[in-house]
Amino acid sequence: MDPAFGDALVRLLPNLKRFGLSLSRRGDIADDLVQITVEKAILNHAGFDGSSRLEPWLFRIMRNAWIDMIRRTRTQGQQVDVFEIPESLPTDSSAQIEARLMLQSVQEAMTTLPDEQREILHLVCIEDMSYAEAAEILGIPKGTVMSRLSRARLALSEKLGIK
Amino acid sequence: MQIDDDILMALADGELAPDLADKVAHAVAGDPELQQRLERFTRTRDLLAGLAKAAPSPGIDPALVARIRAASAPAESAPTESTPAARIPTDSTPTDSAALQVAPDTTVTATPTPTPANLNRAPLAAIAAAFALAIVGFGWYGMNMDPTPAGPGATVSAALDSVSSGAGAQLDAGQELTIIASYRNGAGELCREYEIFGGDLIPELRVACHEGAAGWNTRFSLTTGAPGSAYQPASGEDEALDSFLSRSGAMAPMTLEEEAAALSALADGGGRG
Repeated sequence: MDPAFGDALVRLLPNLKRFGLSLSRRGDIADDLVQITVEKAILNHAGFDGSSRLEPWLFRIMRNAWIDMIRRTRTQGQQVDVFEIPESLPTDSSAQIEARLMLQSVQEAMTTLPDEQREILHLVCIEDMSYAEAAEILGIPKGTVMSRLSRARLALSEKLGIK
Repeated sequence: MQIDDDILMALADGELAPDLADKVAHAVAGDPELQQRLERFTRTRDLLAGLAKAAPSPGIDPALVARIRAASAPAESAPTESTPAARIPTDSTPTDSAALQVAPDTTVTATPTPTPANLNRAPLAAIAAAFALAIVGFGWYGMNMDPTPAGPGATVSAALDSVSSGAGAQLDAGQELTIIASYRNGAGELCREYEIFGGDLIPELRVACHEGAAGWNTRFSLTTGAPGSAYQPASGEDEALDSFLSRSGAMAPMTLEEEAAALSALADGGGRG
């Protein structure tokens, strides 16, 4: 395996963990998903087309692993937040506190969205996947990505009171 | 020019072709209502991007980094088949060891860090088992996908009628069945994925779909172990199953509630819902 492939894989581990958390909302399962994804990536690295970006390829592997997991086990338990927003400090300005509260509301609003919407928001708005890349990861047409994503964005803005 | 939400969103996301983006931006500039609609897309994107920036990077297992480094090291310095078997926790099943020894390239190689605790976790065991399936070579046979009706038998049918996913049922002659998941296929039929094993049976992973009055029909089967052996958890590594599921238009697995409703609809005489 090419060392550059290994470097890229290591660099993307936090992204994989975040996506795993977004899918499963459980830290232990996210860790398992990352591990499974890494093992599959190492095993199948020859199948990766070096001319495209590694992220969509890895996200797709992880998403398939997740679907496979929920097909077999109905894992439910303590759900965790995808992002741990740091606590406000006593020295924070009111603007900083407000910004933090807003992030917390975004986080909370995300958890109330249907899985399908949370997933696509995560891929495009947090992981910066293009519409075409998201379509490839999710195995759906680009038009479906756009309609699903716009519904998700409108639902999120509704929950956050953005008019 | 008709500007819908998808176009506005694509503008906010920089996904429009430059000439179209110019036209849309121009239209938005002269229309406060469009500006307000656009704002919802730019704001949600900014907020979500902010979420990722504000949060610390999630914790990564150093053993995993070491694993990647070992796998991607130049060949001469790559650890060969060395100590992995010795590092496997003692409660590992033979399947685990077999999986971890499949090839030097896929071994959990010797790293200076302790054995990752999550080697014991079930999902990992599942993928290990999957590698074992793929490589140790439990043969597959009898991929039964021809359309001639093949009923699974009365006791199995009764179990398919009633047992919920994740639960098992005892059949005749020491055989057992575990339901994995239920879903509807592209034709709207209720299908159930299950494993059957025990007794002198060759363990099999099967999918049966309910055809109304004709009852259950086995649509897919795949052997997953040696005769008489315990059920070996298969996994999505089974490309045959994946491809069967996608070709038959399988929807996502049902929740337990959806499944209960679908099974009770069957009992009421309707095969479709």
